[in-house]
Amino acid sequence: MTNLIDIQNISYSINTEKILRNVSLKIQSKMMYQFIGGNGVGKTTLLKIILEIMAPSKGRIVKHQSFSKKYIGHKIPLKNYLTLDENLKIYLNNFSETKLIDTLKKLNLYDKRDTKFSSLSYGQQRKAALIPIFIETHEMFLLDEPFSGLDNAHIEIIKKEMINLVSHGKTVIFTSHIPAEFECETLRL
Amino acid sequence: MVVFFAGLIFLAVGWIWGLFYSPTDAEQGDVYRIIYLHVPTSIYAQLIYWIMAFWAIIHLVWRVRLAAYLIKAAAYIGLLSTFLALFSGSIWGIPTWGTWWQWDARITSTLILFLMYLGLITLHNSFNNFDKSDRLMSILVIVGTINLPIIKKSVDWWSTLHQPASITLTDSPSIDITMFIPLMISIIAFGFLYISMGFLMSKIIILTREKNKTWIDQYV
Amino acid sequence: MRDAQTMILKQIKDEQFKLQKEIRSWLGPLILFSLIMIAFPLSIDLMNIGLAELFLNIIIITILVTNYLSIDDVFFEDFYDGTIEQSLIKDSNLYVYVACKLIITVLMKILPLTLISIVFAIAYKVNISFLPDLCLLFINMQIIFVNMLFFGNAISINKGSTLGLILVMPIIFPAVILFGQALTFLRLEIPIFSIHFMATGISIITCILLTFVTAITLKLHLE
Repeated sequence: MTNLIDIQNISYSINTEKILRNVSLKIQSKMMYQFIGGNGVGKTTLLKIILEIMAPSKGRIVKHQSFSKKYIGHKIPLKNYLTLDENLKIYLNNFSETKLIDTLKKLNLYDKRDTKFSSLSYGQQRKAALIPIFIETHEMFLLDEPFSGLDNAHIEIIKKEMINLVSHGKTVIFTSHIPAEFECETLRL
Repeated sequence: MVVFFAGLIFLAVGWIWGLFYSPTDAEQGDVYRIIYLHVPTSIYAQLIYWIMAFWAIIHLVWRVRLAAYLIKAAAYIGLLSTFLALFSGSIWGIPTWGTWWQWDARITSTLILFLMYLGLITLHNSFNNFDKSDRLMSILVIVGTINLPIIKKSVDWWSTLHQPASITLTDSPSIDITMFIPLMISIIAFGFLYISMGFLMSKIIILTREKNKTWIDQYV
Repeated sequence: MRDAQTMILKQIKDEQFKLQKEIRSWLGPLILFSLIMIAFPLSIDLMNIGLAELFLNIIIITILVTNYLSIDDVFFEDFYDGTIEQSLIKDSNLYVYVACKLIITVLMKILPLTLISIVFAIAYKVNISFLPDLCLLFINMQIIFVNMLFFGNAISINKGSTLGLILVMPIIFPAVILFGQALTFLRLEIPIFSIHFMATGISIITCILLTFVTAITLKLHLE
């Protein structure tokens, strides 16, 4: 296990309203991390600070090495006017066609390939957004509430894949309202 | 307060001298006396934008929040100054050109400047996240500043091709000293007045933006 | 290097594909422009002003309005569905994203609009010898307009594109003046080679500078 990122005393505030207070954490490879908290405590904000999209008001992030990361947030960056297949061709990078087909079948999306994305249900759209964790290779996956909108069966599939990633040496960080039954390091915000 | 009263005194001196004691202009009669309002406001309309640009750079490079507050305060004063410049220019236009508006280079550039100030204030007021809107405002100020000389040059070029440049007193080097001195006094007066207004405006902005900080409780 | 090149080419291809599929976004403004150009002569008493004269009087503002409509909310959808966020995470800056959007806008919106303008120039009986000059002027003019409008959209991304237009109009005015003068010179059959030279220079500089500024502005919104 190697040290990837050090979060040192991060605080974040908007207009003098404090969202994060003195958060510290060491993020290592081959580990699963869970950020838990109610609405508005700063789970998404912390993820974005780790991704360096947002700058903390205080404290700093120390990166020990460069690595590729994938962020799957609340938003679904797939276009309503394209079909699922067309969307995935744009959304996904460096993937094998066979692996994609397997994943689509696993997630019950194979028949929906030629459906307009806007016609899919929210749950189906969420599943489509999560496809990268099955077929893209990155050192770190950051998932913002990955289970929202999914039924229990698919939640299990996603959980299995997250554990699989960690066993292959990747780091997975995810946020949640409720503790998930994982072996992982939990940070309560 | 001292600055404000200094400004008022200077203004009183400048205006009384200019309005009552300076000689009548050979070409324009007594109408020219509007320069004691028009010229200072025009000069500051432009100058304030450059000052805002300076603060914008400080804000963006060194993240000094005070600079952003000053920019906001200056924007309101610049807007006022530009409006007065346009207004007094229009009044001046009626006896001299027979019309309250002319598409001449200087007036059109000033109108564009007025729109730029208005745009800045509108932009800043339309956001809830003040840190973000401060930085957006600074970026817009800098982009606008680079554009200021371009606007001036282009409007000048456009207007000279359509009509001869209108002669204004500040262009001619031979402005009489008896007119020039009250003009300078007026300019200094407006400077003081604007600075004092700037202090007041900044104070209001600081108190509003920092209202959750503990030092405010001690101060107020 | 190779990798980066492939990535950029893929991004351009993706943008082109997306725009192609979103027909209303690129075809709508072209149709509107055509309708306006057809309607204009109907609204004017042509006894005192010839068609060719009318064309040269109205074309700049008509093109500006069409440009505004065609890139109305150009970043809006990408901002709200997280596409820009993903670009930022992938590239750690948004220069490539904005540049790709600009390239596709030039290829799929500016060039077709220029072509249609030339067709209307012929329909309005503008002197044929003006057409090459008009073509070059329109391309440079639109590149400058589009860059400014991109910046305006970026600044006011969550406040609507109208605010963005209001904010950048003062900055667009000098360009309007420049190209207006170019058309006047053209009318008077004064050679405008130097204006072409200047306009091309300005559009190149505008592309580089404003891509940079627009990218920074978008990044600011994500923070």
